[in-house]
Amino acid sequence: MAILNVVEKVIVLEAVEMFQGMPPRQLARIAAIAKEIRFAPGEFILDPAQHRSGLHVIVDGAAELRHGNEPVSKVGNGHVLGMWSIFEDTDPMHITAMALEQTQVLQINEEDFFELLSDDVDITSTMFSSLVKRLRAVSPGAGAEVPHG
Amino acid sequence: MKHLSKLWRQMFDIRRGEHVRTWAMFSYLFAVLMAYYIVKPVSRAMFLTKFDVDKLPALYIVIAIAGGIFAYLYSKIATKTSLKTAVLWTMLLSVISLLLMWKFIYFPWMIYVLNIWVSLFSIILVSQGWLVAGNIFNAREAKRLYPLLGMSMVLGAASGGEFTNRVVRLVGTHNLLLACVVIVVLAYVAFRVAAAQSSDGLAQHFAGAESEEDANFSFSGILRDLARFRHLQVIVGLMVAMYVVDTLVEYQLQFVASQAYHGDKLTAFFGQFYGLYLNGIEAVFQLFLTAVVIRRFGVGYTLQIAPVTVALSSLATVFAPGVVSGSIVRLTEASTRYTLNRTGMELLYMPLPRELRNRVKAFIDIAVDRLSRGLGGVLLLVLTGGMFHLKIRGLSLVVMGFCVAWAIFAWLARNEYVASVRRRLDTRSVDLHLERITVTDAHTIALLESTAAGDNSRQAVYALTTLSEAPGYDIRPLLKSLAGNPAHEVQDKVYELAAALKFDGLLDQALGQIQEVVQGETQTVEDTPHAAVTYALSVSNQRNTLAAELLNSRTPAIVYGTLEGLRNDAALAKQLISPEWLADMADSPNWRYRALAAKAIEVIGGEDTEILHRLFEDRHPEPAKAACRAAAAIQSRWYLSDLIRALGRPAVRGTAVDSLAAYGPAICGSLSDVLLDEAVAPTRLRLQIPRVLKKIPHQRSVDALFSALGQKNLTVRGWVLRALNSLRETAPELHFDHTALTEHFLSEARYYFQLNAALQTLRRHDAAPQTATDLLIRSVESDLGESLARLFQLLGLRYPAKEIRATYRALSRPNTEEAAAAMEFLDSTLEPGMKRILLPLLDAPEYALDRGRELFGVEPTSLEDSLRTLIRSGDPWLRVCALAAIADLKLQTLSPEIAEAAADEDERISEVARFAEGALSLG
Repeated sequence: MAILNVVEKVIVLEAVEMFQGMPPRQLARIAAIAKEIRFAPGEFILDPAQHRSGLHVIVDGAAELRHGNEPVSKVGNGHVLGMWSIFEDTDPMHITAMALEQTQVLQINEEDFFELLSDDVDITSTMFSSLVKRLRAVSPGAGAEVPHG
Repeated sequence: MKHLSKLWRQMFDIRRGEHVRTWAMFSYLFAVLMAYYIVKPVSRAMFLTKFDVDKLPALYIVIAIAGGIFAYLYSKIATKTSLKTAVLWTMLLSVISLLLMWKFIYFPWMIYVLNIWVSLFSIILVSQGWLVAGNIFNAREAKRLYPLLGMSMVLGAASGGEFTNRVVRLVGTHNLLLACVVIVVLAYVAFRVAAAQSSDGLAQHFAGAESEEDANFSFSGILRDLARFRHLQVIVGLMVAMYVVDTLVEYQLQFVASQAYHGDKLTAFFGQFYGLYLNGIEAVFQLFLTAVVIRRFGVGYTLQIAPVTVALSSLATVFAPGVVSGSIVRLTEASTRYTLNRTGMELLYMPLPRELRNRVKAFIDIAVDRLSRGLGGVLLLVLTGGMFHLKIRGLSLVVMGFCVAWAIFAWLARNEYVASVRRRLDTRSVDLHLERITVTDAHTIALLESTAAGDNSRQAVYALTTLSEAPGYDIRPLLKSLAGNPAHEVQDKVYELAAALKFDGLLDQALGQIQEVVQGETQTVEDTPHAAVTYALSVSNQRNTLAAELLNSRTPAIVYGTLEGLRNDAALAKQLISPEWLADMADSPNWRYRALAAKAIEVIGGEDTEILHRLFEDRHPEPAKAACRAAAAIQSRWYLSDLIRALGRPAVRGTAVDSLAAYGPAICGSLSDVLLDEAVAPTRLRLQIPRVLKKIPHQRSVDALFSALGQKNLTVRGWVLRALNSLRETAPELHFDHTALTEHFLSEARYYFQLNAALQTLRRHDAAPQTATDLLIRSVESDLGESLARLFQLLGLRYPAKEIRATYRALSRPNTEEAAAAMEFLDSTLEPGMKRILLPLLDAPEYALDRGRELFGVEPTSLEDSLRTLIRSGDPWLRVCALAAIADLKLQTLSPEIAEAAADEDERISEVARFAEGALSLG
């Protein structure tokens, strides 16, 4: 498992649904705050004992998702853990993830991420645009302009 | 061959996907004109054989009346159907009437009928042809392709004339009507081919009307449209002047020709004049001039050419009336009208909404043409008759007078054209003005009083504000009744108004509330109506004692209110706020007290207080924000570096930006130094400087931002441009140096073409998805988009910013009417130098490489050279991507560049360069 450079990190992040439609230059700024973490088999990537700690992208390896003690599914390369929970204030964590083998993960810390959003309005704007598109896809009427009452 | 193809493209630029409809339209209009130029000499020859030339003015008038009536009837029927059906029926009726006239031509009155029919045939079929073209092509396509369609008409006219000349001897004059039938059928076939290429426009309701009522054509409807659209008024005015000139000039030629020639010589003269000279000149004009003139000078100036040249050539008939001078004037008039003017006039309709165009164009074309010629006939009768008895020389002066009117309308048309294009851009800016109403009537006052006492606190505040401004209204009883309102927003407003009125009727209530808070030791400022404290201090007789007591209450909300109350009494504040008090508050572990220390410094005005410097660095954002606000109030330069550093803290940034802006233009120089300091100042901090400068609407801000326009960091450059655009909108009186702007525009355009050349080279190497090369390609594509955005931002500093923004938005939806209108707007607005660069980028991106070569000498290079250029660019991200792409493509030849980059100061670059070195060494 080689250490990822910024270009490789961007290529990994491009696959993340939340960042879709984001220009590479903006992804490079997110890549700059993405830390590479390695988990040994049996280690928790999303730890039930801890407050959620941001977004994790599996770069190389595999993990088991659990709901309480019940295994839910196995996930591998490219899977994103805690994608939208970064915007939620749900505590404690309902779903946990445990590494099944040596697993390399890109972690984006929640605090760093929000600081980046407040720093870079272009990234914020692209993310909003992506969210609105998702919302419209789910509910076609959503996001339509409402006349002032 | 390459040059020929380039020349062809310059003259008639048909793009991919346009060929079938363009050539079908070409054939359609060619056939219509060919048919017309067969029946025209037939009808004229028959008329002049039967009647004298002095019957011509009367014929013009009859044609005008018949034309007017027919235009009305045609428009009334046509608006009830689709354009497709209208064309079918017109063609069908043309064929039937041609056959009938051929059958009954031996009746003398049939010659009048034939002449009237011919005038209607030409105008209806030609008008319909252009209407079809207007529905098949958008404004941008029209500008490129209409000259070619105009050419088809010239060729059709020449072919018709030549066909008549050769075939008449074989089949006789009246049998040519049958030949015309065949050509009309061929025109219909060509129309159907063209219509099959149209998505929907031709099959839709002719007038595009949404209701039956709208679909009903009426004079009142036309008058309503004319009254509503100045654009239409100008078109009508222009046409009237043009056709009156046409009639007068035609008469002049016929008069001088009939004086010089008789019988067969006269026919030969007209045959040669119309068939050879006029069509020859028209062909040359259409082939070499129309497209170039329209592209270079736009619609407005193109329309000016005909009246100016006709007026100038009329000088010849003033000084030397005769066949030569008359021919020159007629050639000038007819050749410019059929080429430059016709194409220009058809383009003039393009910015109008399609529905309106379809509804009124046919009527205007037919009715105004015929009625104007009728008016020309009446004028001729009057001017050449008893009272004036004008000859050629006098008529030439009248022609020149009408040419002046024509030129004025052409000038107005240019302005209207641009204005209509602007309207089509649909800027749709919504200005929400919160207008205050002035209240005087009892009913409204009662309504506002009940609103003020209502549950909606926002409405209540608005009602209170409005009532406080009502002339003669005593608000004090209402304030008294609302002082106990549970909503803090309302309470604050009540105390604020009472303080302004020095109304002490709420003092007991305010003191009671203050006491309650002190005893309850409420900690939050937000939960306490601190306006009550400010109010109490403003109306109390024992202001000093009360202020000292409240200041020492140690209740943050009360202390805050007290400091607010002391804001306008610095002497008392200095007396009450001791250094010990300040130090005590500033050292408190409670951030609220530390924030109050900053607030106190704001009130007493500390020039260079160590405490305030310290509070800027407070770990909690609130004391830091309070320090920023204090610095803004004191406006001491000692705090400038603290404030600039605060820009780097996201939680404090907004307040720091506002506080710096409060210093005003005096600090623009210092801000500029930071903005330009690429070596030392962190980028995230420099990015915030434009945010501050845009809030200082002063020339110094503009100058500071201008000096940073050449920043290597593209993100900083983008923010600088945004700030400049914002200043342009908020302070349009500021000066934006056009020369410098043009330089930056050219520099940005060159960068665009360089990137584009690199992109084309990279694209030739099929990059696998999710590789560094693929990422580099997408990065360059994305940067091209950003570069284009910057070009538009630069335009926004020179041209109307709102419209440029709307244009940019419209262009993001290619192949729409809005995008075509946006292109038209740019075409009509930009100065030639900018237009020459920008328009081809937007209109024909496939030729961007050629344009880059022509304009800036940017040549496409090899893959290695393209990557080398990107590595050496000032942009860190492109450098990083290019280095990774070299590793991906295993380009050993670029090892020296990689080695150099491995020692770069930028950690990202050196990291990727080392990675690339490793990848290349593995082979």
